Amino acid sequence: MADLTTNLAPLTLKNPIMPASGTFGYGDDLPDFVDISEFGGMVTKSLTGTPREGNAPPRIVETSSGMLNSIGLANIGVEKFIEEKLPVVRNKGTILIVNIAGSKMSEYCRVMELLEAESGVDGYEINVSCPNVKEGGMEFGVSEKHMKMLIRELRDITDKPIITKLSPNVTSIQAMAEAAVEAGTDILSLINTLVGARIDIEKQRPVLSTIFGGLSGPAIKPVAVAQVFKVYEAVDVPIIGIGGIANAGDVLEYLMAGASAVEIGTMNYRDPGLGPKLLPEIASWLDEQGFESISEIIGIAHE
Amino acid sequence: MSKIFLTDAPVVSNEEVANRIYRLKLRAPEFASENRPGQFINILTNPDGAPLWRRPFSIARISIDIIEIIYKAIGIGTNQMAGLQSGDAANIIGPLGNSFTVDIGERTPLLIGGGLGFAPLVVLRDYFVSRTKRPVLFIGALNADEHYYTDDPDADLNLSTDDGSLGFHGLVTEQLEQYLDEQEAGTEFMAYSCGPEPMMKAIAHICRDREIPLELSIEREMACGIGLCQGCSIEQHLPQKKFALVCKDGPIFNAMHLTFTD
Ligand SMILES: Cc1cc2nc3c(=O)[nH]c(=O)nc-3n(C[C@H](O)[C@H](O)[C@H](O)COP(=O)(O)OP(=O)(O)OC[C@H]3O[C@@H](n4cnc5c(N)ncnc54)[C@H](O)[C@@H]3O)c2cc1C
Ligand SMILES: Cc1cc2nc3c(=O)[nH]c(=O)nc-3n(C[C@H](O)[C@H](O)[C@H](O)COP(=O)(O)O)c2cc1C
Ligand code: FES
Repeated sequence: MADLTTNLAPLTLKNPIMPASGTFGYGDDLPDFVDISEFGGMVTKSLTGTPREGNAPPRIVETSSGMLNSIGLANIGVEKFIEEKLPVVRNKGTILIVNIAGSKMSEYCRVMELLEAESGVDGYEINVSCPNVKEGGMEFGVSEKHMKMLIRELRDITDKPIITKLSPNVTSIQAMAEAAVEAGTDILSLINTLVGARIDIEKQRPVLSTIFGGLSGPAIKPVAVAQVFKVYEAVDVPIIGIGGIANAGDVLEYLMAGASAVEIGTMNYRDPGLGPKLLPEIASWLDEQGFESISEIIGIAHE
Repeated sequence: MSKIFLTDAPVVSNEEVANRIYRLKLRAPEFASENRPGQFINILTNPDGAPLWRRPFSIARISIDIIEIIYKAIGIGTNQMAGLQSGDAANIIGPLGNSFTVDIGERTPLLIGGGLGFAPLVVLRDYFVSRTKRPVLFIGALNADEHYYTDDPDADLNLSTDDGSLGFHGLVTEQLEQYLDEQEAGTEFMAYSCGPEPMMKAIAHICRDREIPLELSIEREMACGIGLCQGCSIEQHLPQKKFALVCKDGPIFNAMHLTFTD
């Protein structure tokens, strides 16, 4: 059977499928039918320096083939994560990636410093691209200069892999990718959600309390595949493809566009056990096509 | 916490019991030992496409191997469900959420439902009846066609309609107030309600004035139903936790804890 191991240097994953941040909690409180050890890795909800309640409801709404969210980084905060969640998730038999967010550079740094003192974290995903937080004023995800400053600071704090998660809401995602790599990013993940809105025609008002939210789900997949394709040509670091993955064919699309691994988000809400269920089909597709490993098809669409 | 299952539950029956209101029976033996009154299931109404999210429904009844839900066909997902037939299967996740307080000592249970809102209270009624309590039920609806629960020898059943076509002519809240005013002083109640939020708010005021504890079954649109998306938040009166998740901290809440009942 084809080898599903994927090289996400400096990380190696036993398979290319992980849950996307914000769709799997902290990995400790999943329904019994989900076995987190079957995933290539676990990515936590974004953690901030202090706990956050998030935005006022309504903060989710369904859209055509997707959804909008304006959760606003509701999370338990890094300290509670270290105390209550980390001791449980670090022993779950898969790679643990902690996603970090903040409204100021100092907040990102503090979260990372606290995590650096603990064991069990295999890498960090840096959320520079959350469209749902309106404090601080510095939008790291849309300014090359600010993103470089942030990633450089974080690079000084850790020797573990840094994954920078890119926003699609920019003019040139290649430029952002290049800036992130220049500042010391090991791996890029893309995309985060696209800015969207819905109006309630009966109330004649926006549905979300924040007006705008982040669009995710199958509706965004072609946008994300295009951006992975572009970034693959622009930089030399491994890429994690994210956006609208619903089946094995979608995973293969991302791999062929240049991703070395993928994260599944919104579709976990239909079935949180979806990810590992796609692996046998991916393996048999590779077998049928005569490929011996995943690595043979990464970026193949560029040839 | 109870165990959560994902299963393709065979459809036993799916009958229309009132105007666009259906009773769906599913074979799900794994649920019987886990379910507590007030919990819900999340149904994937279309495994091949839209809608994207599962649809949540209260468990209205449960036996050794059958769970029953009562739903109204109002939109895309529920209209798909209306097409289910025996022989089909429904992909469900559950049982989900917390449950009603059932340890109520000598108190008399008051179950108050508006329209479809009686669904989660049926299982509670069954619980009390099986423990030889005689619950008092109030069910209000627009008209007789919307009533699907019209007979119960083991409970005191009070029906009302807005147009007077069945039972008390008026709002369920008016009938409830009349009833409470007629009770002897010192009768102790425990109230439970589910229905439109303005109705639940009015009931919360009635209960607060009479110092009757009240639990509500709350509905919010849900992306996941299992606490993963943080989307189904509701504002509560807790300074240290302003928002609760309806799918996980609920769907059952003490009425006095929620801000909308103020
Ligand atoms: C915990 C819980 C228990 C529930 N139990 C029951 C039950 O026992 N029986 C039952 O009939 N329904 C119940 N509901 C409501 C049920 O989930 C909705 O009716 C259903 O999701 C509608 O899906 P749809 O695709 O048919 O409607 P859509 O096409 O999505 O929407 C049609 C219309 O209904 C509105 N709507 C959608 N969801 C809700 C909702 N949750 N509450 C009010 N209006 C809504 C929409 O805004 C829209 O205007 C419950 C909801 C929750 C959260
Ligand atoms: C409800 C919700 C919450 C999310 N929270 C986060 C988050 O905390 N941090 C983050 O980096 N991305 C977050 N995301 C974005 C996802 O990780 C992912 O990038 C995006 O949803 C696209 O993938 P999908 O189409 O598979 O959902 C969230 C997405 C959703 C739908
Ligand atoms: S519906 Fe996702 S957390 Fe409640």
